[in-house]
Amino acid sequence: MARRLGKRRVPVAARVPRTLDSVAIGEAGVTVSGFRADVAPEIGRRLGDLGFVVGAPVTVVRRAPFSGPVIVDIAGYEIALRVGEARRIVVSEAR
Amino acid sequence: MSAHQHHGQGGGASALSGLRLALIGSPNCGKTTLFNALTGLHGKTGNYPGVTVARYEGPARAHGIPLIVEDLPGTYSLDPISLDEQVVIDALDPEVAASPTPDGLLVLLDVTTLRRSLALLAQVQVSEQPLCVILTFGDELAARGGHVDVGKLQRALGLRVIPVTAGDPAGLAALKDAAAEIGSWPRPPLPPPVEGPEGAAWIDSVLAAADYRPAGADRRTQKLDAVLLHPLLGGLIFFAVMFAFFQIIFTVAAPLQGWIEQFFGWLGALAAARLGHGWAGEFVGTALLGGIGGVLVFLPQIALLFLMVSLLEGVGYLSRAAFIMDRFMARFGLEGRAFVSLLSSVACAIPGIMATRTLPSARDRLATMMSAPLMTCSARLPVFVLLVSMLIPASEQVGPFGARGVVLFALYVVGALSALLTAALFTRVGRGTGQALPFYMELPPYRIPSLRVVLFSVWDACRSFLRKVTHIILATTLLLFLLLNLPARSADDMRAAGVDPADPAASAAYVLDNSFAADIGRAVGPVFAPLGFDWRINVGVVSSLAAREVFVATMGQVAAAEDPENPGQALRAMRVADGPRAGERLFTPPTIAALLAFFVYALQCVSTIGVLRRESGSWRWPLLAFAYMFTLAWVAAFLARTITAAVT
Repeated sequence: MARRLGKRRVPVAARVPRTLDSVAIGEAGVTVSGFRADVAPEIGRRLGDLGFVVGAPVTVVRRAPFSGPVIVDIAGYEIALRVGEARRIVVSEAR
Repeated sequence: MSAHQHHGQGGGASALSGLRLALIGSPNCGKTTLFNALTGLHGKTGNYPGVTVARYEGPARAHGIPLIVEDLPGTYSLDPISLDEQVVIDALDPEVAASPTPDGLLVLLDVTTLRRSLALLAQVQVSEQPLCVILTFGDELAARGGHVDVGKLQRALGLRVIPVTAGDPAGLAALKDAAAEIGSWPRPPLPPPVEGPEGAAWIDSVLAAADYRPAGADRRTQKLDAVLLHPLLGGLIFFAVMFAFFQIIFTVAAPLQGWIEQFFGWLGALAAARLGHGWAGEFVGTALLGGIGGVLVFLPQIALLFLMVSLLEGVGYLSRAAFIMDRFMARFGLEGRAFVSLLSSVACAIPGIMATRTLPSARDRLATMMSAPLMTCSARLPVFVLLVSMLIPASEQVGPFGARGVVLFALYVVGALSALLTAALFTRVGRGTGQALPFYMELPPYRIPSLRVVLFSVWDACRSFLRKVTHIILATTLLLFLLLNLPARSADDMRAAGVDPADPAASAAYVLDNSFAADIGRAVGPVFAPLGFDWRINVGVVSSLAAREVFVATMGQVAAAEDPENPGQALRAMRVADGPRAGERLFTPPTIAALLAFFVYALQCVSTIGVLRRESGSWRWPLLAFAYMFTLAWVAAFLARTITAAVT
């Protein structure tokens, strides 16, 4: 879905920050740009400890069926997050 | 964190003495392998005070100096968001007297995830305790085309850095050299920045200074994951693995358990023959040897389960299985890893409850522990078989299937659904105690597990079960034996009551009918009367606390009094002994249905209660489990009785 939005060059969707759950498998050039505002500070710190820091490149490796967890490659290792957690992480595409 | 510099040895209940070294690192960083390499099989498992977090420590030696090595729970951060992580903070804090403060810290950094690991190192350095860095998985980094210069890393960090890989004696020797001289460990003048851009800049500068080149993708892991985590194939393989897992627990453990039972049966008969069929012979043969056999009989299942769980975990499959099951388990408030525990409980709740140790969150562990006993364990099977065969004639069919089999299957399904629903309830209740934790689970590369780690896990599970649970099970077995056999009856008593003392079945039944257990059975009569149970069923229910299958034996004993040749027939023909329904058939369909429902839910197993006490660290949880399951059991039995009565 996010891909479809990306194809239209009109940056309508850019107002709503893109989050990690909308990143397609294997999509390149995506980096972490922060957390959603409603993320509790300690959760944000923990995600940071796991490697989700601003500017870190992130790739979605795999998704479990039926909106199960997603496996992402961050800081050189693979970690599974639930969609709820992935939705807390704001990403941006490198230009 | 406090920076007081008194090395507190005080407060700890540890029996070991020596310099205390604590291992700190993220999950999967090779901590357990190093711990086992240092301590051999001498590690001890305990609990951190007040929490359900297992604590591992063990003795080691470095150049003649005695050491105590403590394996702290794996953590990604010293900024705790869960009770489990608080344990690590408390263990490092000199002001927390409950756990002795380490004299030195060994911080394990997995070089294949060095960037992330350095963030943890920076946090640990804030405590200003003497520390030494252990680099693990250097072999894997090299194999995947990565690089790090240990000498330069050492200078960049200002700390001692020792590379240790599994099975490499040189690294271990260097570590022991270092452990012998904690006082001379270097320390940078200032701890590095922990947070924000400064923290990230520090990590970048360290990585650059150490000529760090990250590991490339692990091709073997990628290929395996493409199959094992395939949306369709991965699911099928998962079910095949779990089926094999379950089959092994049942089919391999069952003959071993049979031998243990036979051996103790033989020993008991021997004792009875030596001591005569009197009270002493019965006591030694049935209660004492039977009780010990009843404890040992769990060992094959526990050993097998831990063998398989630690193999699957060591290989890296457990986290993949959890990934596959997570979506389903999430519906019930649990995470994927709880699945293995619940599945094992179908063989026996005891290894299932012990397997909750693999769950990272305390809330999930408790919820799984509290629901695991509802899974239909193998001890319920003989009870179900007896009752179902009394309820339904063998010839009855549901479509092409035998009705007995269908009912048995339905009982398993009801048990599993109830377990999942109670788990959902308990995670919901537990949610009030703290905010919801984020779910994240590392998928480590596939690795060949360390044999030592696997063996230690099996050995440790068996040993802690025997040590911590034996007395509870043995004491209850003895108490139940006494209740069922006291007051002692002389031959004259029996003759006076018109019972032939030479007839073992009749005299056993006479003793049982007049035992304290019978008194209890009558005393609890009002509780069970609405379910249609009479005092003899109550005796069976009370005796089944030792183990559910004892119900079958006790009912056989009770029935044998009426027709020693054919207790099964006698059971069916039994009539209500007293009360308003006296003379009516006892085992009517509604009563049998009530009994079945009762056994689906009731926590009729002291061994499970003992293990719950051991694993949760307090009596609160086992008592709560017993109470809520009894309530469920009573209500379900009442409903089953009412519904069956209405239908038939």
